[in-house]
Amino acid sequence: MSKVVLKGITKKYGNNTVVNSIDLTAENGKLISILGPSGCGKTTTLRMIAGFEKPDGGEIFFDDKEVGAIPVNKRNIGMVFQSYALFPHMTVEQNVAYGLEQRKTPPSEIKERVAEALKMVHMDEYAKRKPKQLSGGQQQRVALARALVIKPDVLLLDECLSALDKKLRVEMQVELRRILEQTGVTTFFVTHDQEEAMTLSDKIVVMNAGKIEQAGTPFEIYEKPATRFTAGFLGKANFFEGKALSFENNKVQLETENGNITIPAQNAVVGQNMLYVVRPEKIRFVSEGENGIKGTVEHVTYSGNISTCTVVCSGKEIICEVQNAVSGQRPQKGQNVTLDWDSAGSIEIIGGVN
Amino acid sequence: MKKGVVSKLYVLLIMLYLYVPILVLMLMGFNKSRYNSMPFEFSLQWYQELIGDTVLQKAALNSVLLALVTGVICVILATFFILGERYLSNKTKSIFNSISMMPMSIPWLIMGLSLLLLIRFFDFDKSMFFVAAGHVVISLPYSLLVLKARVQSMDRALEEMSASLGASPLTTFRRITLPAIAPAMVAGGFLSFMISFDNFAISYFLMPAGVSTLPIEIQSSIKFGFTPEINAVSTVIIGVSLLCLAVVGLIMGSSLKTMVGRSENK
Ligand SMILES: Nc1ncnc2c1ncn2[C@@H]1O[C@H](COP(=O)(O)OP(=O)(O)OP(=O)(O)O)[C@@H](O)[C@H]1O
Ligand SMILES: [Mg+2]
Repeated sequence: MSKVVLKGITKKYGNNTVVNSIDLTAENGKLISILGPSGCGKTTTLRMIAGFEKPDGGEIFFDDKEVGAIPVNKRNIGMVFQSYALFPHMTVEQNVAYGLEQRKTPPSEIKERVAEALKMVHMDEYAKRKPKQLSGGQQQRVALARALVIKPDVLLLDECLSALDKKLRVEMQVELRRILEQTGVTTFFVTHDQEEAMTLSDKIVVMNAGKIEQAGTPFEIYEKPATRFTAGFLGKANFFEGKALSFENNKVQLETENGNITIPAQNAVVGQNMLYVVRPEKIRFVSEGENGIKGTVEHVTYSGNISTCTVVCSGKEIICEVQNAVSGQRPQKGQNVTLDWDSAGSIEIIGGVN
Repeated sequence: MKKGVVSKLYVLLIMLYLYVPILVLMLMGFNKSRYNSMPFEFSLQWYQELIGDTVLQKAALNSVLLALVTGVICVILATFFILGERYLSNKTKSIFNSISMMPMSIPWLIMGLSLLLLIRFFDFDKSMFFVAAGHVVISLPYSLLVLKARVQSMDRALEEMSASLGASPLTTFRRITLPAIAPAMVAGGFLSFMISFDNFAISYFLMPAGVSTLPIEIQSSIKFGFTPEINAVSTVIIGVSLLCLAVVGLIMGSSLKTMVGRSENK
């Protein structure tokens, strides 16, 4: 229920700058996902918002109030750690009640709200158990209930659904989304699951080596990646890079390290180095004789709803995905094919080429 | 097969080596002869004398009280030390660690002597206060050792989580930290208790005139003629120690399981 603003936040461990001058705004009641490779500073960023770590530079605001001097226990945050951190000597029930007890909530209300929270995460049957008697996924759900039951202003979730199986995870995602909409709590959500980030987030922040690569809606991040890193990190990507030799009829001829290749594109500056990214699902197989890029199918991976094909076109591997529809025929290994896509499918990454 | 017999024999020999002296001592407490001589004739005579021996009882009481005070002070100091130490940098921490363990490597005789010289230097009178202080110096490292092991394996995230849920540092200590380290506090305190209870050298140097502890009393009784009463009192001490150990084992046992169970689950 607070807008959270990070201004130039920096964290150093010794000489190692772990978080490097981050600017980030989380609007009131929105869910912000933080994505990035292991060790890029996601947890450290959350810990600074929570108040466990003091930033070496920059300021954090909750609703225009600078929180640097406010200790953790006065920030009204809810947190789920990567390691769950359930209190081992307390039962599930006592764990969830702990935060309410600190808020001097009357016992009858505590009882009610704890039961409600446990029901929400489907853990009501386990109320009397100790954490060590629970599976990883069950512990994670208790940790989530414990963070939510106190109705925090800011919710910080560090890979809080990672130990759940697919079905339960989707269920929890839906539940989480519902709770967040209901309570309007501003949420930071660290995850390694791209699909999860896509479906849950109002905004995705892609981090790399302590810096924000790009922040935007899931659509923007996927369809309009600003950097090569973002394009490569989220989803599969084919990169086409080289000097533009000519550009006409929405086709650009590039001088790449594998020789010249002509691909569809909406924009190009002749004589300059260009970088385009093409998502595999944008590429389609066209019949022989039509205009397109000729190649040979090198490899086909079947994964249920789609097949992923690696096509080699004059030395360059291009990954494309086809729907396994009933009528559609799947490319075979060794087959000669022609590839094409709409010119809008080639996303120009400006500033991607140095 | 043969190898099995040999290794069993080997273990048996070590056991005998360790325990025969104590067994003989306990046995002779039940022997009628004043000079531990054979043949063995069962009697409870020495235990009866023990009941009437107020000097020995007084000394035993002193020892227990001294050890109790020492144990409690050691646990409190060790707890503060360990918890405070966590906020130091690694380098300072390792320096503090070595210094705090030093009393373990200094012979008690020298420690006692140096404390005595210090008291003399400042022209203080010998008193129980200094005896207790000396006992704390030599017993503290044992409490520290046990507590350190426990705190190091403790998850800091638990305390952070408690803070994030709105608990003040004091509440966090009381409800999260204390339950986690309580078994180690009991064990550490018990260890310090035993070190103090057993100590002769420090007490010998610092004890004010007219007061004695059990180790001192036993030592002096050897000087003035030894009776199996000493065997009897030793047996009682061993019995009480074993009982304490069993109780601590019971307390630790159940709570240790909770701790271990947690870390296994991680
Ligand atoms: N207390 C610390 N002291 C020194 N370095 C640290 C400390 N905590 C984290 N780091 C370093 O900071 C970097 C970022 O760590 P962080 O935990 O934020 O990564 P992360 O993005 O959460 O990674 P993961 O996805 O693996 O959880 C890492 O290189 C890590 O080694
Ligand atoms: Mg992390």
